[in-house]
Amino acid sequence: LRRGRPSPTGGPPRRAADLCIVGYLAIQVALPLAYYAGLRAPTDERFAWRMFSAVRLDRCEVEVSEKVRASGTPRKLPLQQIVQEAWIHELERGQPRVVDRFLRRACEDARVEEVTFSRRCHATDGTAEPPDEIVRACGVTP
Amino acid sequence: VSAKKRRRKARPAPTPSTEAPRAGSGWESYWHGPVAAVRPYLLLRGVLLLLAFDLWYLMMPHAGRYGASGFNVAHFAWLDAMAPMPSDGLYVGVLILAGLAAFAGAMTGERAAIVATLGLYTYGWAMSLLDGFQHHYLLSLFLLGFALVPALRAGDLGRRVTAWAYRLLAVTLAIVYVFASASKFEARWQGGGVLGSLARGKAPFGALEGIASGAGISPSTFWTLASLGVTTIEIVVAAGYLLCTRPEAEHRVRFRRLGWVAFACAVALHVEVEVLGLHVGWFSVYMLLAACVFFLPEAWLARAAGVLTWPSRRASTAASGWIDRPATAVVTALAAGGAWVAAGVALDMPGASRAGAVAALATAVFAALALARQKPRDGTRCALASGAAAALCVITITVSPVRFDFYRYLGGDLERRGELAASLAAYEKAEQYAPPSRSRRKKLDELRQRVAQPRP
Repeated sequence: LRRGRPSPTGGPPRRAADLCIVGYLAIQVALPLAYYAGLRAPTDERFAWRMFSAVRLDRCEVEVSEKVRASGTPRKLPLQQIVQEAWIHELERGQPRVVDRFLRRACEDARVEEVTFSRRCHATDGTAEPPDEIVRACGVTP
Repeated sequence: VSAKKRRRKARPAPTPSTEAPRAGSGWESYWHGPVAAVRPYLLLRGVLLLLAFDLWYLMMPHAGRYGASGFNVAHFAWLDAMAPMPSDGLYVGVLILAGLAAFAGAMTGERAAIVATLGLYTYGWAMSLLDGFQHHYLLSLFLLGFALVPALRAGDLGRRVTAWAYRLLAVTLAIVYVFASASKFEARWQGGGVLGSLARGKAPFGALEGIASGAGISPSTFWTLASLGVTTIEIVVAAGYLLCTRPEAEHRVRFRRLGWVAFACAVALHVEVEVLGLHVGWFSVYMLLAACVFFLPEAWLARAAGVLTWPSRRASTAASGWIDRPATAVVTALAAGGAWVAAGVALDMPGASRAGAVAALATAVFAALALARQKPRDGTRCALASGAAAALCVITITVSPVRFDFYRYLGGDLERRGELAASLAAYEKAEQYAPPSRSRRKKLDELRQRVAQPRP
């Protein structure tokens, strides 16, 4: 390698270009690998290049309920009325950041003691997958 | 030795900045070796042009989701902390401006326009997880590459240049296809059930399944083999991007052959994605364009580029004196600015007027900077591109059902959330822009009744 020599394109010097290339490639390989290494939730397929992913084809239903301090009985939240429909699809897909933000928002109501998110999915062949349930105690930092 | 030195001295000086040196081997050759300028030129201009219409035509109708119900999650936590809560107006504005920058970049190759496209477009998808298309992230990587590719004009098309950023895009595509195939080594894909659920009964799988059945192959074996076929195709395309885009590949028969096979596989894969109706926007079109640019012979691309750039080269020659005058830059910038202000009003969408004003201002600032740098030609070219973008943006949005879709989606969403009066207002707007035979009159009557007599 001819180090430190200016690039003939008039861009950054070649050594800087080489560093850019190496850094860029490292990121591009690390991002999808992080998914397969389990560093991201299986439902968070962003930046992993999973074209026609099986996870995406699951058919899921979600239910969110809240327990109010005064009554103590759980009440199902009418999702259609409180968030835009596209966010319900994200909840059905189990996008972890959306689920977390949604539960945090539900907990913003001081009367709410606990919020429960449950997601049930069926694979393309109709097999039921293990249910996914998150219980968030309000007023407690997760 | 002295004769050799003399010969070296006598060698003509390298032609301007874009001329590539002789490359060594290995790393040096791969990244800094010569690339036919026509390839990055066509990829950059083609992707930017497609992107402008993608933004105005395909992404715009969904703007009503942004900020609805006061809920949003950005792609990155830091963006949630820093950026304002998105709104339909903000999203429309970003799309209009990103489209302007992309179109100006496609017409002029101006780096400032490409960088503006990169910033605006990336913010456009990153502002919300409502945009989950993976190829939008891929396009941001393309734009990053374009910003680092040497500036190329139509006059550079016969040259060879050093363009490591162009090679980086080839490797990026190889990475995309490698991981796309990796995801298909999971048990569910290998069993064939996933592909079966996507493709059963659709061309050519319906016919192929029939033939397989006639040959005594069971449906489950057929879908397992078909899944394996898709995985293999993706691996071949990845290998093509990695191996056949190298400088020496054009001179080696086996790599030329692999390039053709990879091109055929890319075409088959992405045409099939469209046949299956997988709702991935214009992903296939971008990938087919990339396959053409990276795999087709240079002579074919040069011929295509020659035809495509003929009008601009001809116009540039014919109006050479006119285009170089500072007064021309001022007049065209004023006209383009006026066109954007009028376009903002004519579009009748939230955020459009402000975006029109910002576009007008940006055009004026760019022209002023070009004049200050004593480059009136650059100012005129960008102002002309900006004026054309204003006209095309208005035509795209007003002739197509973009506004109809935007307002009816918005109306439907507001109705679901019980905001009947706002829903009625949105549907009334939708009706104003309804294409023939797609009237929402029934819906309007129903909503009017419900607004007049609210349920207890």
